[in-house]
Amino acid sequence: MQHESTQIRVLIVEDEPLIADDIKEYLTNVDYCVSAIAYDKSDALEALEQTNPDIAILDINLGNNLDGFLIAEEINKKYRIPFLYLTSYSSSNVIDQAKVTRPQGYIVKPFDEADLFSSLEIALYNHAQINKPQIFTKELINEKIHANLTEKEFEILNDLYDGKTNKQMAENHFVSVNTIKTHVQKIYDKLDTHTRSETIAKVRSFLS
Amino acid sequence: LRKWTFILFVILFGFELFGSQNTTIDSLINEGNNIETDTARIEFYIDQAWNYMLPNNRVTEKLLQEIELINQSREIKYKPDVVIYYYGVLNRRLGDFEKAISYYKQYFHYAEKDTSYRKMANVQLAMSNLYYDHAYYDSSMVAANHALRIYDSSGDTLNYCKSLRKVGNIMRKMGRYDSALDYLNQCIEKSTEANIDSEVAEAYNDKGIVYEKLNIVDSMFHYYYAYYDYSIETNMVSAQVYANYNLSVAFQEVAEYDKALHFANGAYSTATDINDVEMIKYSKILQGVLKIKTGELEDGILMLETLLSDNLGLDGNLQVFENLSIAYEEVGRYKDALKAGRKHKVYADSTVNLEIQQQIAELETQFDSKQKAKEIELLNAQNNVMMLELENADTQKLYFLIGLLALSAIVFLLLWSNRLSKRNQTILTEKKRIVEESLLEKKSLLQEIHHRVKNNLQIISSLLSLQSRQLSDPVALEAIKDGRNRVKSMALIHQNLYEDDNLVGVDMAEYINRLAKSLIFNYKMDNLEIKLETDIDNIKMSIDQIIPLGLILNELITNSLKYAFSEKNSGLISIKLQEIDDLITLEVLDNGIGLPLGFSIDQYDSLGFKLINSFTRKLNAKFEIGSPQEGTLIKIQIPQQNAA
Repeated sequence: MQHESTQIRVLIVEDEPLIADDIKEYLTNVDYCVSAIAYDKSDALEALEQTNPDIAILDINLGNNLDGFLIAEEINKKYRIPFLYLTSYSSSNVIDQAKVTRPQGYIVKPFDEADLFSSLEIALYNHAQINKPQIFTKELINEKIHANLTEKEFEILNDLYDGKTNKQMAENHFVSVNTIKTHVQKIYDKLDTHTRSETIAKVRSFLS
Repeated sequence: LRKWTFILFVILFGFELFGSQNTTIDSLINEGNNIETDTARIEFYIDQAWNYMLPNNRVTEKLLQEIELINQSREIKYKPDVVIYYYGVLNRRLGDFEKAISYYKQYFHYAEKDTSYRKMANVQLAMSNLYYDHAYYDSSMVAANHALRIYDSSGDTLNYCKSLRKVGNIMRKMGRYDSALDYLNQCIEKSTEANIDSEVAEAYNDKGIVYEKLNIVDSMFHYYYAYYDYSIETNMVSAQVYANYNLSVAFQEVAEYDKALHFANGAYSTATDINDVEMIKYSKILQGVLKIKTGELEDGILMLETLLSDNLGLDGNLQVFENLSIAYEEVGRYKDALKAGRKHKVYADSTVNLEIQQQIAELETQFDSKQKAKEIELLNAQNNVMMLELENADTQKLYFLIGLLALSAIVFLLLWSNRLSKRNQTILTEKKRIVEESLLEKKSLLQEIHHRVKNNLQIISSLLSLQSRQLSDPVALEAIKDGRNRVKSMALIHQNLYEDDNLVGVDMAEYINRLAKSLIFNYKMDNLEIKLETDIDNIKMSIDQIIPLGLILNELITNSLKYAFSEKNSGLISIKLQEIDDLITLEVLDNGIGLPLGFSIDQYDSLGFKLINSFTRKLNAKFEIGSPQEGTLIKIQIPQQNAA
């Protein structure tokens, strides 16, 4: 579990289990961690509260209700994590309703893995950038914490802000995924956080 | 001093006449001076003043002045009202109309203060007589009526009857004979009831005068004789004087001079009996005139000549000189005749003037009544106008009502037709609404179907995806990937169809671009760059055509991507869709290795070509393999069915 928390944690809200499984398999294959699969609104709200996702993929139509919008509102109010819609709706009236909830992406079914992956990556990056403090230096962060971040750890922290997966970071830094995971875990320990979103939020609170 | 004054008076004027008057006054005043109290002395003078009123006005005046002197020395004047009244009567006697009226009015105020109705009425009646004598008939009428009302309410029948008679006489003077007779008849009725014979008689006499004016001789004689009979029966000499006189005048009028002379003689003798100076005079005139008329010229002339020194009054002088002139001429005294004639002319002129004045007065009253009549007429006219206006208003109202009814009918019809059209409109709107609703329902149902189709296609795609992750055989993986792409090419159609509001067709350019890009993305290989060129006419096709066409296109592009560029690191795929003369032509060109020589779609045993073959058949299309300079060109010509 410790290692899972270093990955990007995704909440899947999808009322069709087969599709949800397909998404989960795919995301797991590309080094994401699915924190939970929720089949309806109450599942989703519970999962948001308990599984600390970094991002959510929301189906809009959940059992004949447009509950996806309500979940989005709840996320905006309480959790402030990025989310995407993954839906078979592409009519303008639904998109009009969707856009006021400020999603980080909108994927129309049937989707390609490629579509989903790129959308997730862009969403995470945008979200992190928006929340990244203007002055972002290792020294400033270290002033606030007991055990100082190393240069490597600061670089990894930057990658977290860019929404990179462990695998991507491993490739960038020419190290194994496990090494990256260790680095991320160390960052979590030093900042006293448990997820990427929490980490991003904490650093922002230090530097604002 | 007073004595000296009188003595001086007598010396200065030296008139015997005044001498005798002065002695009378002196003796009376001396007698009064012997009376001890002021009040008793005043009572004495008042009695004496009344006694001398008729025979000697001067004595009365003097006595009244004496009373005033006594009263001036007193704090409270004693019987001042009586003095005022006597002054009024005195001035009337002296012919001073203005003063008389003024005194009467003063007396009326005294009476009013004392609330003595009898006195108030008496003085009003006196005023009425005074106005009457001076031909102020309107004022006379007002005063008489005033008296009449007071006597009526105070139950004084005698004076009430007198007042009625007075009003009757005023009416006669004003020429309103009918009204005059009405009042006189009322007087006769009332006085008969109350057994006041004198008033009945006087009313008969007055009626006689009215009939004389009306020239109704029979009635005139009837009432004159009635009066005469009454005066004889009652042995009332004063009445006999007038009865005789009136009958004499009446007979003179009808030219029965003998009878007239008889009654004139009667008038003279009775007047002489009661020493009525005025009536003696008038009777003598009448006698003289009648003697001349009956031929006793000398007697007549003598009689009339004795009268010349007397004040005969205008009417008297006129008669005297007229008859004297005639008589002188008859007896040959032409010079006297001429003189008398001239005098007569003078008096006649005056008479004319007087008559004119009287006529004017009459005319004025007539004018007044005429004006009143006119006013009444005017009022009637106004009433008529008002009535007409009312009628007119009624008519207008009627027209207005009719107009209103017509208007309301029109309005009603308009409203009705409006309501009908509105109802029709409402029905139309309702129908339109139902149609629109059902259309919307249909649209949302269609959208829901497309949504479900896409969702199902996603499920198929996910199934294939899940299955592929269980496989390791690259051929199997490839097959599943192809399957997923076919599913996706169908799903894209639904997506594009779905996004189109009118749901009739699919925007082909949009769809083809999406499909091609998706396929290129899915089959992309490292070190291979594929360029896409599209030239697509804006054709809208039905979904029955698009799905086979989309699948054909999917196979062709996939084919090119899989096989055409195996020996290259870049490639070009060009897609053309054109509509020429009801024929849709799809061309897919790549710059790859090209098809093997002698390639025939029927012989080539692959799923892709099998699908192309069957979908082409379904579209009744013609499949053609072109021969470009390099690469492969596939042409499919689809006959455009009547779009839908």
